[in-house]
Amino acid sequence: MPYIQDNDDLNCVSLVSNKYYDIDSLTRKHLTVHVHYLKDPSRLTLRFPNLESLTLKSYSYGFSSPEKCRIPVTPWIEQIAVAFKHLKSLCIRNMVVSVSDLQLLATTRGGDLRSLEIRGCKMFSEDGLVDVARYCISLRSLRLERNEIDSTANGKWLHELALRNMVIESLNFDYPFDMYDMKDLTRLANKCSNSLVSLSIFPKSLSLFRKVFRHAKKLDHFGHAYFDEHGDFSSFRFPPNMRGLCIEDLPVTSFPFLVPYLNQVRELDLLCIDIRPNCQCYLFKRCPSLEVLITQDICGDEGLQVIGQFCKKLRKLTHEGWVTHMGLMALAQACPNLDDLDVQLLDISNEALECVGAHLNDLRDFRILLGMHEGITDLPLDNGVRAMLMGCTKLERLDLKLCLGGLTDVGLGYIGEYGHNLRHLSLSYTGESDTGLLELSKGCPKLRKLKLNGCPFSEQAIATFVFNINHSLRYIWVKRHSGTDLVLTRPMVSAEGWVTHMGLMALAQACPNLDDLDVQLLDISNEALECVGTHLKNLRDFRIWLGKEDGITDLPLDNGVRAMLMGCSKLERLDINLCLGGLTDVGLGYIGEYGHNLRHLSLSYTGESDAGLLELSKGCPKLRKLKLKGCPFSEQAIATFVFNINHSLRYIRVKSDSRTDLVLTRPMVSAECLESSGDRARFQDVLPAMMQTLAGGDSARGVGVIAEAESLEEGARHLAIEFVIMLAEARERAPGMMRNLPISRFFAISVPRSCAASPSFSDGWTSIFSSSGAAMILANVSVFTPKPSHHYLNITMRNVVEVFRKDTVPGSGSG
Amino acid sequence: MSSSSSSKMIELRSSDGETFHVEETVVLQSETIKQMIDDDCANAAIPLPNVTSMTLAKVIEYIKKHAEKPKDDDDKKVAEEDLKKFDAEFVKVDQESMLFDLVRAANYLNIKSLLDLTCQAVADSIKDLSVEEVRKKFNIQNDFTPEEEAKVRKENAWAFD
Repeated sequence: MPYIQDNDDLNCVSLVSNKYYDIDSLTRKHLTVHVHYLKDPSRLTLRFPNLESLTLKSYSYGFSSPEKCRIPVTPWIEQIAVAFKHLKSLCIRNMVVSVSDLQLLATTRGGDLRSLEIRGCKMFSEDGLVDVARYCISLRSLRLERNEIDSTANGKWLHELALRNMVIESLNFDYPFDMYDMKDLTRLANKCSNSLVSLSIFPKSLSLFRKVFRHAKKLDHFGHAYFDEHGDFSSFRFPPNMRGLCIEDLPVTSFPFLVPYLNQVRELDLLCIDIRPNCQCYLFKRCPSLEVLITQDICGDEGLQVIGQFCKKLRKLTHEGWVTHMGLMALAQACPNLDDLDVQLLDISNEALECVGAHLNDLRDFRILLGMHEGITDLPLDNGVRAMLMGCTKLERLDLKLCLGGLTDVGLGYIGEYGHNLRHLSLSYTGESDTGLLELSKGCPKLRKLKLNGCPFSEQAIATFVFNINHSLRYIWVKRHSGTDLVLTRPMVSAEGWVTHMGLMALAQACPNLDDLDVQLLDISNEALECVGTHLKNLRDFRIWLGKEDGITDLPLDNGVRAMLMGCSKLERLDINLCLGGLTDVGLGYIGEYGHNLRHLSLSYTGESDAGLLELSKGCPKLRKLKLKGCPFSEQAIATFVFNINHSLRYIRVKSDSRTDLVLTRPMVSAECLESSGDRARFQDVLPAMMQTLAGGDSARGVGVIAEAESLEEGARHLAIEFVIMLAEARERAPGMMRNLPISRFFAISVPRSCAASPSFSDGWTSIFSSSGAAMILANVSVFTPKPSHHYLNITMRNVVEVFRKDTVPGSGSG
Repeated sequence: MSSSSSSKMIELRSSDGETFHVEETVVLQSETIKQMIDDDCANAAIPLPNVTSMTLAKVIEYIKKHAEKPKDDDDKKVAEEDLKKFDAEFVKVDQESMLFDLVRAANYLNIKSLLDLTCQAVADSIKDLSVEEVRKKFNIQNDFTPEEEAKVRKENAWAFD
């Protein structure tokens, strides 16, 4: 296994047979997990227990920014904390990282962790990093890039790092960690003078780094300082091995200062943030070893010619000045080693693209931005793109930002046909119609990410696309003219942007294997729901969210919901967030009638009256959790509901418009309390007997017995009665039963309502709940009081002292 | 050639009874045989019951080539290049079974560089193959249930890289 490096190949091997699967599981050392597609972190530890390096990834940068991160890393860190004893390297991307996560990581894995990278994450403060610095004393590499924090930076973590760490090799941090003390950095450079080779940090004046450079003798890559013309550069010297430099805002007058180092420099990043970009040809001419260059040189094509002439070894070029297709051709001919090219063009021609294809056979990453949208004569670029792709067979990433008419549907077809190795594709203002997207979707077998900006494709075509790209596309990001974003992922297609019912239908038709669907809709129709029912037979989890409340014509959705449930017979979880009038009581009845396998149900703004809830409660035999929000049901109806769903409902959560929350667990069952299976079985025995009792018409007598039991404390009797009444009401027997009650006694004992809320009654009382059906002795019953005016008995198996059934003689047996 | 005629010759006998005479300096690349020599068990022919004569001939070809020593630094570079070419050619065997025999022999004789080379060759041979092709190549029975296979396939495709 160590001989197979590529994880694609390892994945393939793991499928060959069980033995291979096991070998792969035990030997896999490096792994990237797309957390969006793996819900259960424990799967990871089960399958790959011996990982040494792990990357956890949510949507990648560009698809969402840190503030949109939604997936917390917490459950993953918890897994890492208990498993992964061999973990040396961890990388977290685009997730939510809280202080406690880093604390847990640092205290459990800190000693072994050699490399930590946190990128594009939402971090709440720097505090977690202090723990990382304190406990991860073997840390060789720390990278913090493009993150976000709520609080202001204070640099304490760097102070801690400088105190503890003696082995760091590479330190990398940028905004928002902008507050740090030069003294800490200097101390770190001093303590790690024999290890530190790469430093890339939030920029400060170059002259301030004098001491750092004096200590860090081995430093070969230094990033992000800005040149301060009036700084003190006496006795300033870069470390002798300096190969890579990122210095912002270099004025022309400073160039001679760099000359002694240019001969050996392999990487140069010369972006201008605060000053106007200038001509940098003076520098290019003196960098024969240059391999990586980021520049905003203003000389256009001439600048490119200079680069081509003097920097023959160039592999990577990001050029943010404007050039033309002529310059591009000159560069392609002169620098055959280029594998990464990013240029901004004022014009473009098929010939230039052909030239790239002919010369840059190692190109992996190619990004072009066309700055002018008019006056370009050599359009469309279909043939040029084809020639480029045929030449650059290794191309993995392609960004084409063109103008309308720049690429026709035929050109898109070429990308599909020849983009064998494309993994990332970003298209702006390309294509003519859905046909183009369809043609594209026939190819690109390895495509993982697709970005579309201002392209004339319909939602249906886009949704279809997702499922045509066989087994590889992970994310699709669409920016439309209207400015709304659409993000699709699969297989749990989560459309983060808003789609219409048309899009939903297209999706349902295109992907019959969908088992988990979460969509936000701008409108909805019965037809769309029927369509879901017809096509998505495997759907287990369906969540819809209607974002608009008015202007929806096809209401109510009763029939649509019925058709959907009839089709999606495996559905286990259903979340329906509608608007008022979206679902009538009839519709709720349908959910009850056809939701055979529903376990979780969440309803928002649905139904009309208690009758609807009652109808619902007649069905859904497997329902375990019910969430209600903004539904017009009374609390009585909700309490009733609990007891109609036989043997299964565990939790009810109600959020009403008045913002009060009501949480009910089944009064007599609190799942946590049923510890042994014996207890559970015992309870199962009791329950039907009780229900039978209530249904049998003898309830009143039972209540009466309790109510009249002189031996009981008043509060206890009162609560017992309420409890029974609640049960009785559930069987629609309340009216008659109430008549049969010994009313005087009942009211007599129920007068002191206030005592219900006091804790004293619950201490050591014993009640005999007796009826013709069953009896039990309860002890230490507590009360659950969500509101002063409402209280519920919380009876669990712990409270059951003895249970007597019809066939046993009262008083003779227990259990 | 850098071999000197004064070097002691070691006799190796393959599983099918054929004997090979190899210089001791060359054969020391095999940790297994080195151990035998150190233990003074190499006075008679060393029997190698797990290695056929065809495989052993290949192994000897390999260790002989790798025993050559360059004279100076210039020569060293050339020799390194030469050795790389030799290795690349060496694992281009007509029959795949030969490659597996070599892996087994390298493992048995404990010649690490040869083991690495041949294992890598096997690994390379399955690069970019489909699951079905790998099964066919190594003649492995698929013992997953369809559900298990679908689950792993899904997990592989989406969650794990």
